[in-house]
Amino acid sequence: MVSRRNFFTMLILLMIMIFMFMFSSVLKQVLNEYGTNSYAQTDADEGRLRGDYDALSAKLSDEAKALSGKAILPDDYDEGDADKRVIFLCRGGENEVGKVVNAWCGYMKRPMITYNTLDGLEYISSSALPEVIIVDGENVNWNKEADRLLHLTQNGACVIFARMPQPKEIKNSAVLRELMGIKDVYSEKIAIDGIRLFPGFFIGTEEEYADGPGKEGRQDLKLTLPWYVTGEASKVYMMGIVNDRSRKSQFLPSIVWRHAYGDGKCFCITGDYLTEMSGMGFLTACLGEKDSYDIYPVINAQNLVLANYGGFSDENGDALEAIYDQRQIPLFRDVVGPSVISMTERSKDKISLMVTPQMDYEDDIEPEDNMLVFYLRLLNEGYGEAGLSTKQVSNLSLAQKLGKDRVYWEREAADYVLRSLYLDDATHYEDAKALLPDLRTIVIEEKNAKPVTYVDDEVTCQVATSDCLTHTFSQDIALKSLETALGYSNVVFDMFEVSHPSGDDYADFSRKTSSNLLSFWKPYAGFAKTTLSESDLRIRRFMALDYHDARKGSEITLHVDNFDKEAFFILKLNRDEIDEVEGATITDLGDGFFLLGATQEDVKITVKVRTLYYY
Amino acid sequence: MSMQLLTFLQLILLIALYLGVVVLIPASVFHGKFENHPFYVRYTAYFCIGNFYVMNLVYVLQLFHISSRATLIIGVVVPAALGVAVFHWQDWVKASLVQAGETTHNVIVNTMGFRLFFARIFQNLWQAIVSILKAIGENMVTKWFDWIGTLVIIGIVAWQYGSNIFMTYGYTASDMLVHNAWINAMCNNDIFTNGVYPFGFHCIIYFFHEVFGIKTYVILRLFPFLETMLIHFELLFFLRLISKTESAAYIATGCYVLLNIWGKSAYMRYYSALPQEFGMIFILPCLFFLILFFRARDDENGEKGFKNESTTMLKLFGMNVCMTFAAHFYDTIALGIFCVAFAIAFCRVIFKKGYFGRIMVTGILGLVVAILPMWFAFLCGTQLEGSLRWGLGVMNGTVQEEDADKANLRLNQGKIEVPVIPAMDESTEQILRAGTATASLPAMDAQTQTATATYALGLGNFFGNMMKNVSGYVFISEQSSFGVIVFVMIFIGFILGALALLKREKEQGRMLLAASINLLFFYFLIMSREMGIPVLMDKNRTSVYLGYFSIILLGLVIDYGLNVGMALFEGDTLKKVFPALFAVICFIFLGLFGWVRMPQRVEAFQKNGAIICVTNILRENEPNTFNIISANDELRMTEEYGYHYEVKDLLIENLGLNANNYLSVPSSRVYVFIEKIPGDYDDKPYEGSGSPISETNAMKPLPISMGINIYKGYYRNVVMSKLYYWAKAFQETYENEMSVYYEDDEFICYEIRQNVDRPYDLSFNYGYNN
Repeated sequence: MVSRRNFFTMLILLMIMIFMFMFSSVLKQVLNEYGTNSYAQTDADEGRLRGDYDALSAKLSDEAKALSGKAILPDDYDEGDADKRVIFLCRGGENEVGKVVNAWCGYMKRPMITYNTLDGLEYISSSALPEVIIVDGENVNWNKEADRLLHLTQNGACVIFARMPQPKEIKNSAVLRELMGIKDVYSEKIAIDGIRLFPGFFIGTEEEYADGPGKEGRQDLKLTLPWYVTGEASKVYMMGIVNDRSRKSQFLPSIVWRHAYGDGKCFCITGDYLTEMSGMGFLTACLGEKDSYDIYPVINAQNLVLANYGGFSDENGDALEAIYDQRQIPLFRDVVGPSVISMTERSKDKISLMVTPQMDYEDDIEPEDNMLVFYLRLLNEGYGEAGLSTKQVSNLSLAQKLGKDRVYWEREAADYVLRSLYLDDATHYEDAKALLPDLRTIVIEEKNAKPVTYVDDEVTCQVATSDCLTHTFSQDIALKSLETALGYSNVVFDMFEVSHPSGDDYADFSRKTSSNLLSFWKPYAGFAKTTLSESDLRIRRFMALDYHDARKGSEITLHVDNFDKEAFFILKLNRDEIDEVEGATITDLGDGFFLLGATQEDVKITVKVRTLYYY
Repeated sequence: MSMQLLTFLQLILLIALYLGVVVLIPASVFHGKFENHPFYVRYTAYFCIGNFYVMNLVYVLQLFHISSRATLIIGVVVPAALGVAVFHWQDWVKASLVQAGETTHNVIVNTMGFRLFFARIFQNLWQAIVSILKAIGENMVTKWFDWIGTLVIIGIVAWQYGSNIFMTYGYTASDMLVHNAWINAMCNNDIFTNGVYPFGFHCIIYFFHEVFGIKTYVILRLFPFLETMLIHFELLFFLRLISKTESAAYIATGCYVLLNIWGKSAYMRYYSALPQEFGMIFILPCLFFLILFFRARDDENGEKGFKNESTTMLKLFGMNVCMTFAAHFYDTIALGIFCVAFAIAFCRVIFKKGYFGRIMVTGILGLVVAILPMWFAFLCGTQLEGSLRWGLGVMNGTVQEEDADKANLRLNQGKIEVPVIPAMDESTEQILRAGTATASLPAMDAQTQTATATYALGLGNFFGNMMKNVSGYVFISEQSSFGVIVFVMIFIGFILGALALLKREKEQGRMLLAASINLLFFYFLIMSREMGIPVLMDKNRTSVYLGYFSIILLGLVIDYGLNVGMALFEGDTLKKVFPALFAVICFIFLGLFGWVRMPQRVEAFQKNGAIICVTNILRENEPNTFNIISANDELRMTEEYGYHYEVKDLLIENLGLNANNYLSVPSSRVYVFIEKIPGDYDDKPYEGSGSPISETNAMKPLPISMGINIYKGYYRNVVMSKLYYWAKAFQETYENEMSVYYEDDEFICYEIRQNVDRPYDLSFNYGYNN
């Protein structure tokens, strides 16, 4: 028999325990303000940021227009910010390489001055030389320009061959070979077995892009290349590899390298990397190797977008049940959702959940009540924010679809501000904007588009940089390049394939995406994990800012114009170590790359004066 | 951390480890056997046993190619533990084991808690420490004079010979690199890598490198201090053994260390870790134990038995004979000469029954033990090392001794100038560098120099020449005065010896005679070339022994004088203190008149900056991830830890205006060592020696010559000038990848950081590719 005293003691203990366990869950339920989008509440002056961006763009554009395509006069180069000018040498107007260079110049806050010829540039003084001359080697009259470039490099110019001249041209031109540091054109076209990327060029680990265990199906690089053998005064960043191990590494084909000639440097990039926007990181990386240090602005945002996320209505239920033994709502709620959460907990990513309450608006199946609330509660626990997707399988206009979605949305979470939209067809942007007055950023999938830009005065556009389903070697190079250039990636999982399967089931989808995300994005853990709203704000600040840097002895100073609360920069140190930083936070990204988070307009970085342990 | 502090800490560690292994471990086993002897006998006995064991353990393990840290530790610890157990079973081992067993049992059955268990351990340890300190304290009280005397000697030897290692970090003898290489080879169980050679010294260094992980170059840098200290210890203890008075030994040793009368060739070798000087440590202990053998035989009164004390002393005599030969055969020659003098002086004793035969057998056995590893290796097909062949050649007359001396002597305006660094080892350059450029010897007339036989000269000329030789080589005098003074001292030694014998102070008298005869022999040895008799060793080396042995005679003469003089006084303390105080006052006065020698600054073959860089490079880099491009010296120092590339090869690869060949040095870090003021490695100072590198020299053609001659003399300046401009040009091309790692007024080191999978081309047109 239990005495009454003991009975009550046990009862009280049980109640305390139940209270303790339930308390936190109850609090989470009660205090969860899922109905508001915490990422939308910023005190940034978006209008001012846009204004600063416009002013900066105009200034760069004016300077570029004032010089481009005209005769080069020394007087033009004796004034102005010569050390931040970029000359693009290309014959026959702006081409695909030009577009990439143009975009890169915009992000690097430099005017792009385009010339057909460098005639006259050799007469300007060494101190007034532009920061870099980018050359589209396939579109230059080398009979005239080779000597000029050689002369300019001798005097201290930095030349980047965004695209190399034809191998035959190089083989026949001793001047070009001297400029590029090519000892021998071993072959004009030869098949190699892979490519090796050395550390220190891009942010991220070194890589061997060749077939091997665990790399099946990833080789998609163009492996037929001219074989250039480089020698003295050269530093190779990417080289071809062949299976014949008897060949000494110094005689293997150089793909990306630097050659010091006279007082200047010449960077050579073999291949078509600079014909795609993702290749702009090659230019950044080359510039980073030019001097003892380099500072340039970056966005510092890593997005994970779950586009076309269903699971709100019981559509396509029979088909899904045949595959998964579950209908759409429980499939997304009990399988897809937890697995995504599990993955993001490991990768530390934040989710931008771009929901689509319905795919088919012509059936009678409506989205279920409280499902949106369920996901918003989950997201509000720190996992991310919600937005809308535009995908549908019915034939409604986008305006009609969004109208119906809005009804559901207002019924479920009327106060939740929708700032982001996944647009599967960019041409419908205007319709979407009319219906979503709070919209600030859109995500689109468009090949070879600028990674980030303004769509109009109010809305930014963020292009999907990867789907993470596949990660081929060229995608890996693109990832490294873009991360180096912008500190930005925008991974978009298209969940339509889950709610309307046509090939792989979700298990395959999940395995591929999670293994790719957890492996290849690992070196970029130093960058901030963001939702679309967060990255939108960072993009606005990035686009608006301008900067100036200088080095005096062991002190590097950075001044940020149009500074708004925070700005991010990559600091590349080629031979020094950081001693002290004032006005910024710092994160080591490895191989001499550091992420600076400026907290004020002026930043001072002191590098260590090397002292030996024993003296 | 400054290099001075590092050197100090390393030195303390090395001394502690060395004495721990060669003195404390044998002491823990054999202290029962020698407990009734004075400290200096106990110390010398343990020291000899320890060195003998370690030396031969390494020999055996090396010859069987099983030498490693594990086998060496087992080889020392297991026999030591067994020895302790066997020799002290009844004393304390058995009781301790029983007590330990009981304690363990109590802990297991929980009748003793861990707190009490550890408290007991600490209590026992504390008691042991207290009892040791108490014993030392009591000993200090009773033997206060010896304590003070010994500490003073340690202090002045450390001041005289130790200060240099805090100012000069490199090797002060060129052949130390060769010994370093041989020791490195032992790490691969490749003893006698360059041929059969006495490896006793190398065995000891190798042991401490392998077992304790101290880098060989660090040991070789610091070992001269320890080696020299031990040489003086043995001199002091030997004199202490044979002196009747307590202060004579300290005064005589003080004279050896302090007086500014010695020629550089008589002591400069003490600044380097060399096998011959290591072997010198064991010469006097031979005679030390021989005297103890005589004393023990007297006490035993003809008693026979293997466990007799006399047998123990004979065994120790044999061990020391063995070690002199195992270290360097010149030490055995010096010992042999002294033994002959000893045998003459002690002929009445030595030829008695039970003496001569036993001594001879023990000595021969000692030599056999020393020769055995070399003989074994020779039988297995290893040829004699070059210097051994040379040494044997000198002795059998097929090689002229002038060959060695010519390297060191050079005619200069009527004076014979000796590079401050006398001949070192016959194996390489044989030059040891002293800080004060050169020292001059008295000029020898042409007649003397060209003399090949004494018989052609008159007796007077011969003696005059002999005195000049002794004065010039052993002492600083340009005249023959010091030679005459020592000769007079020999004469006095004979007189006093005879007097002592007449007074029936037999041992003292015989020792005086032995020391005098020995010095006389060395007088003749130094003149052996002029006398036309086989030259057993060159004059520079003879001078080291002559100086060292003359102190024994001096000590005995002082001892005799004090013994007679102090008989007039009453009181032990007065007899001890008065002579010592008098000596101290004398030294102070001598110091005022410049007769006290100040510590020498001996320049090294490597710049201090180079050693600082090597030390830092080894600390900063993982093994085998770096390359050092230098003029040969650092090759052996870093052999086990990284790679080395010769400057000569680099410059040869850069020959030709286009330098089209691709020269890669594939390691992630490459360090380039450049001497801005190149060292003078030649035996003949050249015009402009000591001048900095220059563009003019860089423009001169690269001297292509065999071996390391390219790094000698004026050529070195050309090489370093070219290398400097090569580095400058390379840095302009790779400004981010090459930086100055270290720089001082005389030396600069560049660091190149490169991708090991695509190393840079180090051959290019740097403007001086001729």
